[in-house]
Amino acid sequence: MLNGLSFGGLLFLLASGLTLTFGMMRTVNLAHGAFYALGGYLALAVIRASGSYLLGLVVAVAVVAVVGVVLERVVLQRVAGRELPQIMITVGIAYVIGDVVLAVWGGRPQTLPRPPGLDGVLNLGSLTFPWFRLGLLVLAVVVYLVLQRSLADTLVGARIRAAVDDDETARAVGIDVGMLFAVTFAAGSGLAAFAGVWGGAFTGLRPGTEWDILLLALIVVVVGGLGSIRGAFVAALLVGLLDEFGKWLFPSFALFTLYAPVAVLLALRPRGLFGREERVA
Amino acid sequence: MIARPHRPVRLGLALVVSLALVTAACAGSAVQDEEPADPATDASAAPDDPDADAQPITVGLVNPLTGPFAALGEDVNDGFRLYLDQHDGMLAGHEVVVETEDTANDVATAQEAVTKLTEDGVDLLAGFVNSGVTYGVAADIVDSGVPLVITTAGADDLTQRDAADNIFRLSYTSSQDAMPLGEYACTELGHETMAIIGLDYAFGWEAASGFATAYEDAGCDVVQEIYAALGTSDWAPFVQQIDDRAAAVWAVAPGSDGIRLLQAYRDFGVSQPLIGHGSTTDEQILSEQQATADGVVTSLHYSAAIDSDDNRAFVTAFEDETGRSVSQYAEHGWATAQVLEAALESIDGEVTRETLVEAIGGVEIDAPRGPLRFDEYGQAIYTVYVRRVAEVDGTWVNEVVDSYPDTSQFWTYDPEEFMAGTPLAELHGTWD
Amino acid sequence: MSSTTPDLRRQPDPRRQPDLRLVALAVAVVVALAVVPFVASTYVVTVVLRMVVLGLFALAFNVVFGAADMPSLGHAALFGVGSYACGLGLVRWGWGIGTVVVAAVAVGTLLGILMGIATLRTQGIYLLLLTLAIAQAVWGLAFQQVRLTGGDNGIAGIDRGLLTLGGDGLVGFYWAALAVVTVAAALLYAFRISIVGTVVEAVGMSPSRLRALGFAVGSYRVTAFAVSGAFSALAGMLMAMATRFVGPENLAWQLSAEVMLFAILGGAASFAGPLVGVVLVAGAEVVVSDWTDRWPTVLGLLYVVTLLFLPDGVVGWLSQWRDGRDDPDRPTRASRVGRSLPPAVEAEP
Repeated sequence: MLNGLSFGGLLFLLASGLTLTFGMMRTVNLAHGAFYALGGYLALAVIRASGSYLLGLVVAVAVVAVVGVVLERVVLQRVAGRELPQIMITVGIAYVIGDVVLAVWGGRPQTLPRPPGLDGVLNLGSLTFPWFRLGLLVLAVVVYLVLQRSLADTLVGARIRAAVDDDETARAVGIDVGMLFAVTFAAGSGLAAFAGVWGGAFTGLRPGTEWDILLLALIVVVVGGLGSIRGAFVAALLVGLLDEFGKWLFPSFALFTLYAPVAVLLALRPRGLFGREERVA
Repeated sequence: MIARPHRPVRLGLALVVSLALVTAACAGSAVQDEEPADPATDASAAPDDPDADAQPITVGLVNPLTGPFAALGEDVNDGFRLYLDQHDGMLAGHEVVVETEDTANDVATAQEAVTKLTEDGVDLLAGFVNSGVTYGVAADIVDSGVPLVITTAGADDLTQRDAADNIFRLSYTSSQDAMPLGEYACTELGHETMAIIGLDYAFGWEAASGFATAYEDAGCDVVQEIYAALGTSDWAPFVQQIDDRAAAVWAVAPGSDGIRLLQAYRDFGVSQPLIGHGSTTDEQILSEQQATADGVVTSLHYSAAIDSDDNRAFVTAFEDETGRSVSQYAEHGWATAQVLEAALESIDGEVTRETLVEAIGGVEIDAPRGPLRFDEYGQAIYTVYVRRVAEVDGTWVNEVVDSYPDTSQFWTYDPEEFMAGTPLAELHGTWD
Repeated sequence: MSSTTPDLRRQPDPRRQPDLRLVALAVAVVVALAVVPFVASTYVVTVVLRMVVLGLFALAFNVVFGAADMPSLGHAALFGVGSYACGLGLVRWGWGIGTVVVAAVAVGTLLGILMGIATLRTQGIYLLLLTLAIAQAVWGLAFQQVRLTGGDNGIAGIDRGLLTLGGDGLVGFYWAALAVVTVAAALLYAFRISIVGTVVEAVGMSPSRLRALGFAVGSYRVTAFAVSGAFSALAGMLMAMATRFVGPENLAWQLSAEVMLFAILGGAASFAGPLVGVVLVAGAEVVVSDWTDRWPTVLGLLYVVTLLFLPDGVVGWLSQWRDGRDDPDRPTRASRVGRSLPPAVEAEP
């Protein structure tokens, strides 16, 4: 149970950035997994060179955020509002990033170190639980609260919501929509890298990580409902538990039990769990 | 000169297709431009070679160079090239030209690569990581008659029920390296009951059932089998299911799954000693696993720590050249070049696909792993090492603790009976 | 936005007449393709064969994608079940080729209908993700039910000599496949200009308007999926015979993405656009991977640049260039599908 929840925490982390770029801004960003991988590999390189975990984390998040903004400004903005070109362009970008990562870091599976201080194991009677997994869960809750609060209660959040809902009106009342979208995209890409640094210590990094992660993140965002941070959070925990129980109960159908319920849910509730009410709110 | 690329034909095609398909024309002409870029060696001018006018030999290396198995393909190719470079591009007096193709881990791509190389007149094909891809190209390769040396793909039946005259393999069959540890774990390590944990696909099942067959025939008992889907992100649910009845745990999880499995195994403090298939603590991932792999006993036909002059020379050369730690895959590439050299030496007269196939079948070489020859099904017979992970001078290595020389893919069983039985893959889930 | 939607009543006969230029071009292409084995090497025949089979897949996909405006990312499932019907039928169950063709088409049609029904309430990106989830579930089954499917090792040993126009080698199968694809493409074209096909296209352009006119929109959408599924599975069957192998990659979502790429890059608004996309993408893959080991980078950049400058695909760009200026209201593919995100659910009744 705790495992499922901690895996769900990881799922939320890797989906949180996508909730911003895809869910809120409606930019179909299939390069999200590539940002995750790029963040992980960058952090790994910096940590190995400098020995500082924190530096690695900061550099990875910063660099990927910049990469994200540049892509948004230079490329994606030109196809704003048009999904199909967005899909193909972001797939192209993911190809490029994946291939550059392969060329630079090689194809051997790698793994990031765990953050300092989270290495041991928590022992409570018969229960053993690694601190790192507990940390993931806590971190997911923190990221969730920060995102939720900053979108709901801050001026920037209000402007972003306004710009997403009706960018023409937002422009008319003097909101710099382009700037806001750049900021949101930076945040989304940075979160992907942040997740890559944490998740890289959990799932490892290898060629193809960009697609594995993308699929998981897409499931979470869509099940939760586009643009709903609360939805993504609930969906991440649900998918984590579903995955865990699927493995217990039907191990030889594990892949099926991950995707089939998602398909059924989407057929019945196309907007996911929380898609609708967020839009109204 | 044997069969160099058919340029006039390609040009003719380019013209025809361009009638209908604009870009196909570009394809045709660009293909022509590519030939000189091949890493043809300049060793043809080697001064003091007795028969420098021997026919040149072309080798097609067909490995995944992109995608999840890129690192394996790269190591194989580099191992082969390194041996060739050390011999100035000449093996047994023949100039050897290498053409590489990326299979992209995809059957259609691999088939196109094979077709192209056979048309270009390659004398030998070597490579393939994924068993499915290998099965996908096997029919084309059998049709062509070009000898193939498989350097990684493990599916047992490629050299058993589906064996072909011109298909050889010097890497393991999935079960070959697992079976000796079955006996060792029961008789030497004294683990009387065992839980099996592994990846839920053909390789995992064949390896597990190979281990279980030898283990139970030695008089011990498998009490549990747990299989996790390929690419399982979270191994915690699986390691937590391990039964207390098991005295030890045998694992098969290559690649990044091996890293995650060991991480979860240690995280949740599973108390039983861990042993496994050698790919679970492969040198490609051992530097990432580090202490989580400490003390794990595995079996494989290679270890970078094999204490022999041949191996030390190979390890030094590879690590100096590439800056990467050596792996079984690099050894496969190197040994392929040795096999080719030995086969060419034994051929009197013209080298054809037929003579080369026959010659490869008869070679005996001393590879970095030790003595290697092929059985009548084309599968390598070699020493399987029992290794224990330990930290030596700050580096994690698979220390050799014991060895089983001349291990066949059928272990101690009779080949006919072995193949008449249920395929090992289908025995998974029947041991507990 | 919706003001650019053409009024169905003002679209009389032209769309229902065969485009003679297209037919003539098609004949020329088929003849040229039939000649290929006489002048080209086996390698080239192998490459062209793959393009021909993928061409049928792309045409079949475009019934749902370009015509009915449903961006499916699950078509690999429709393709792959045809492949598996072929592999299982021929190798495991010893069926004849006729049975296999019928079975492949039937399974594809059924799964198509199922997908069509499952996606009835969705549109746009939601439909894309739902079809992806369905296809992944099918992939998971094929991957894990190894006793049946061989799992990752797939099913080898498919005899392509069973379908041949001359000999049991590659070339005999190539001609047979070309013939099947030609007939199938003609049928798809006939469907496109049939009454049903025209309505399907109109549904794609404006479902709400069609519903207002009294059409049973849902059943046309399901029909589009069924037709698309049938021909996708046929293409999958041909691919299994062409490669003499079936594996989970015939069901992988990357294949769904690739076929969508064919359609977008070639131009989804026209019938033949996806074919151009196949030639461009598959051709580029062959050429670029021959030229550099870093081919994913080059291909990725190629996608980005092409989509930035030709968002309507090559054929869309050509036709705009030809007659774009005198028809400013002509809806482009991108503007049609891309009118930001449509509501996930059509206004419920």
